[in-house]
Amino acid sequence: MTLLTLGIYSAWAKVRARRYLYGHIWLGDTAFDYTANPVAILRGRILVAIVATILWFANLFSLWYYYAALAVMMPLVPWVVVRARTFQLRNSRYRGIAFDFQGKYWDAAVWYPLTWIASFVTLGLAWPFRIFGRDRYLVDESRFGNKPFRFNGEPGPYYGVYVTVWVAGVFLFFLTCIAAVSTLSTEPSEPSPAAIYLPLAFVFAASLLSVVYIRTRLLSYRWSNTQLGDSDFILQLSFGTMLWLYLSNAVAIVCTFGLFAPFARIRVLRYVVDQFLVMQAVGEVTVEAGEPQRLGATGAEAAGEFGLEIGI
Amino acid sequence: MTAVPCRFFDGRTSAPREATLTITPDRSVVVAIVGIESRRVHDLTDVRIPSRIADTPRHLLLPDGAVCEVRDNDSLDTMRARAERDPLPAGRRFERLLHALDSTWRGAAAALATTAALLYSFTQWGAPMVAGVVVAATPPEVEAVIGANVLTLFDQFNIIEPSELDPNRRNELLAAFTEMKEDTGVADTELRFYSGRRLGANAFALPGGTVVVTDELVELAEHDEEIIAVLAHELGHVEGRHVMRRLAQTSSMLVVWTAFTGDVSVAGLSIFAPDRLLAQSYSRNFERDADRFAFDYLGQAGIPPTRLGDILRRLERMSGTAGMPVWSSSHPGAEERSRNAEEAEAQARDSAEGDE
Repeated sequence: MTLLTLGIYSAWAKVRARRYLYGHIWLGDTAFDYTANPVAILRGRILVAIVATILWFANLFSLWYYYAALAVMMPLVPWVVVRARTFQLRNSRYRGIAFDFQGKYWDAAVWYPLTWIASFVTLGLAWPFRIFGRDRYLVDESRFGNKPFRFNGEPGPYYGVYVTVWVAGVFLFFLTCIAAVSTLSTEPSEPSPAAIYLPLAFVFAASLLSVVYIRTRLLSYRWSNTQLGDSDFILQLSFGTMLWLYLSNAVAIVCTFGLFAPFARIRVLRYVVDQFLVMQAVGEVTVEAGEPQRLGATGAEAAGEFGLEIGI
Repeated sequence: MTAVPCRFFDGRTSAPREATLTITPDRSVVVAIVGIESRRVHDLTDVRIPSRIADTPRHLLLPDGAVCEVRDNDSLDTMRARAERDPLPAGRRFERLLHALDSTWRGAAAALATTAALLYSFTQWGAPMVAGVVVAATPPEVEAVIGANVLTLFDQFNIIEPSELDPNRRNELLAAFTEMKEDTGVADTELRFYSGRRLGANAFALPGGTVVVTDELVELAEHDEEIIAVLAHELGHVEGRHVMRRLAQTSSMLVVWTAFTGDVSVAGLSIFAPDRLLAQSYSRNFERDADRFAFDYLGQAGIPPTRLGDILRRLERMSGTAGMPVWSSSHPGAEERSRNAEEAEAQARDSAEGDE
């Protein structure tokens, strides 16, 4: 349909896919509801397409134009972040009550372009703090009806996650170097296949491991330290399970030329949502005291991370 | 009229109330909350009923902001169809079609087949057509700027370096190239020599008409006619504006394939594999065109077209790509191209004998 309508239907496809996912995420006895207007998403997509085209042309002519175009667009980033998250939350409903986001432009500006620059200047040392601040901002400004979400996390665990990844990365890098050098010394004249494939294997393994590790740990930490009114959430994802899901998904997607992608998405979502626990009541649902209720999930954030969803 | 059980949310609190929902033949929606004498009646046109998605609960939005959650999708649709029977709005028919398409395996298979057919036709016929239009509309100045940028980039990343060929040797080849320009009538082009470094023995045409030959290729050639054959091939690319065409084709395909992959964020690049393979097939077609151009010129100039095959074979042996499957490569195999060269030579001989 998207192809037949030259891409216009993609916005409707997105809403239908999302409604399907929300409609299958149950919290207690009720499923979530997604109410976005496809026309708004279409408008957002047209805007993105225009921006991408400008960048593409700028890049074609010269790198400097490209950087100039990027610099001009920088002030738009916080605005897009606020709009996208507001759009996503306002269109997520549970029991007839909508979620909401009340973040301000300047707060978003701190956690989006400004701390990128700070992380760059400090060679990445400020990055975990930036992720912490961003999470706190996104959670604290979110609401469900009249109840605000509250984030109780600390920057420490964020540093723990990233330092683990950095140390492991350096260790893996040395292992690869040792392996590469040992194959080189046996055949000094010709570059052996190992010398070519080892760096590729390193890049693949390092990026997969770090992405999955960071995602697993931070998603768990973020949700386990989020409160909604009197309700606490608990999310304990296992790194091993997530790694298996991502690895098997990647293999299956490559083998089927992408046809497995929808299944892959559902597999990860199902696992994350199934691990979700809500302690106490959400929105006046009374549960037996102290007994954790196994449940569906809460909103798109549960699985989709805080990814950007454009909808102006 | 049987009522459908539903859960009623007033939109102000999240407390659910058991209720029933009825759509009457006179097109009004009646919501009756169980246990109290409260009935709400709305006009059907004021109630937003979302389209059906698989068998997920539907949340009907009432005009006062209240929400009715209905799980019995079939009964709801039957009741609504009965009320709307005459005439069934076009929008509803479309919604039904969508539901049929994306809730059955047969629908999914049909959509997949249609997608494959559309993608194939676009790659086969659509993209070359788009590329033709785009290239015709691109001013030569723009093309020249793009070509110059490519050279600058190559230079910055030390992919090429200034040529170390003997200037006399260069002038000989430049003279041959000038002659070729005059004979073929391709005017907007110039020949440049570079030391190939990472490129090794290579020759290529850039947008804007610049033909680049590396020192290594000149040294690899065992006969000047081999170099002339390669130059004629590159001139074929210039004449057909192949580089710009390829750029336009691949970018237009990128747009279409992105539309195809749509929301798939986890798919990674594997999804572009078929796209890459087809792009390579365009490229091979351009190579065949350029070969044909070269054979024509060589035939006229009295040079055996097999010279092109000779140097191509040597290149392939050197780069170790001999025997690689054709579909994975941007160029047809040297074997095939040499065969074409031999055929072209045989033809040239035949026509020469005919003239005598």
